Amino acid sequence: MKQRISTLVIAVILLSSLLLAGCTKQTFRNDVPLLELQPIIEPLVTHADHLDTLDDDYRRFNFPGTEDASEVLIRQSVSGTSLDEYGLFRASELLGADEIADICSAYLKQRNDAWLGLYMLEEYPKLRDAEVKIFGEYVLYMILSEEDKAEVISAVEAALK
Amino acid sequence: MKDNEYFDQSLFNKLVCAAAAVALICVIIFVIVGAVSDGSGKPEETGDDFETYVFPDADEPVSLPVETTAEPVETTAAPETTVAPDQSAAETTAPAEADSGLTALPASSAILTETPDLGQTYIDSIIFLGDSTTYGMSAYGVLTGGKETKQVWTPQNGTLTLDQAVKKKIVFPNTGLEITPAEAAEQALPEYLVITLGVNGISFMNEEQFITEYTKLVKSIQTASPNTRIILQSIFPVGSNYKNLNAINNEAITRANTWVLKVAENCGVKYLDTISVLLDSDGWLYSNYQNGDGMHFNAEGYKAVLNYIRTHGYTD
Repeated sequence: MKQRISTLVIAVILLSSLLLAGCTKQTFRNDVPLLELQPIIEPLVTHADHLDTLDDDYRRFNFPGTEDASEVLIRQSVSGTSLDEYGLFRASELLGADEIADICSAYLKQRNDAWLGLYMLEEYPKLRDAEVKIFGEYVLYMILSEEDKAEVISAVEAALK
Repeated sequence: MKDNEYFDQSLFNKLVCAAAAVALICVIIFVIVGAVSDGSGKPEETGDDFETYVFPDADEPVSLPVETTAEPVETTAAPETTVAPDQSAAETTAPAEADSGLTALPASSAILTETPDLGQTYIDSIIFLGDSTTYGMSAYGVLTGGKETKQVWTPQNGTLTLDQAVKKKIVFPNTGLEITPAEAAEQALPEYLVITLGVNGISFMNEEQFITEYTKLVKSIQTASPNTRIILQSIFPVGSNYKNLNAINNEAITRANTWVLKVAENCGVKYLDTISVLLDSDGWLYSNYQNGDGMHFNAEGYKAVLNYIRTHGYTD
């Protein structure tokens, strides 16, 4: 009887430990303004000198439903021949990070669907392989090269730990 | 010990351990596959194939979809435009009227009506701002200065979408620098500015977004150069051989041109309905006006455009 109980307890503890380890998410800070993340990100973007911030109409029309995000920063290439672009959103009590991520994914799909394939062909992989990442309350989408994305992700993770 | 009281404790222990092991394995697999959600998502690959097409003597290659199932263009060819820079427009043969059933424009005082031919001098006083459908005017050398013309304002990457138009930089031909359209207007103070924009956005923009963004662009130029006479040219049509008709087609284009007219009315500028002489009877871009991709014009097509511009002058 004792042996049976001890076997059961060990199994439950083992299982619980594994489940907890598997389900525990990395915690991130939620007190970093987006404007403090921008100088961390942009030195790592190859064509950062072509980036500019469009007005809020761009967010309003292309990211519908993000009105309740506590902060938004969208940086897009406005010169040269690069497609480089990234956007940062910060969730709020009214709009969670998961919802924001879904909206960002929808935006990237729209961009892909609207791609005419007539210009900047060498840049298309950035759009095709664009990614959305969540860091706690922060959501980041990237239309960047693979190398730039990897460096930006690492830098943002480090900044928000 | 009675048979019905018999209990194999070792078997029970084995079963518990086996269940725990199975559960352990399931959890490990679950974690590896991606129990932690990070919101990553990649758009589906379109799977399109592309090859590069180069405008005649253009500096930058322009990539086009591979025409793996090219269909013969059976639309009516427009009569050749015979207007040379010093010839009168009266010598040209008017193209057949289109009866495509596409959206007709409402009557408006903003629409530029037919005038006597204002000639090459008028054309020489115009700056053309737009996307790749405007860039071709320099590539084909149809303006004074040929391929070195100073009259074409387009971005370096050859494309311009309305939702970026205010901040997107064009290559200012006077200096070679990249500046915004408003900055260019402030420097050049053009007498006339013909804007041809919208085709890159109609696949995803609704009317509100289209009008909002176009209006912002026009107002930014008006602020920078108040005396410039701004003309919003209709979006050009596409041919039946255009590869992305599901995204951009003449029904959407003619609908968007009603929005362009609204912008012209709201901003107090003029609208030029050039599309009216570019459509064949089936509602497609004349086959002999395009370069083969169904969207971009050749020299013949641009001559038709210029002919229309100089015979529908902004004379108020």
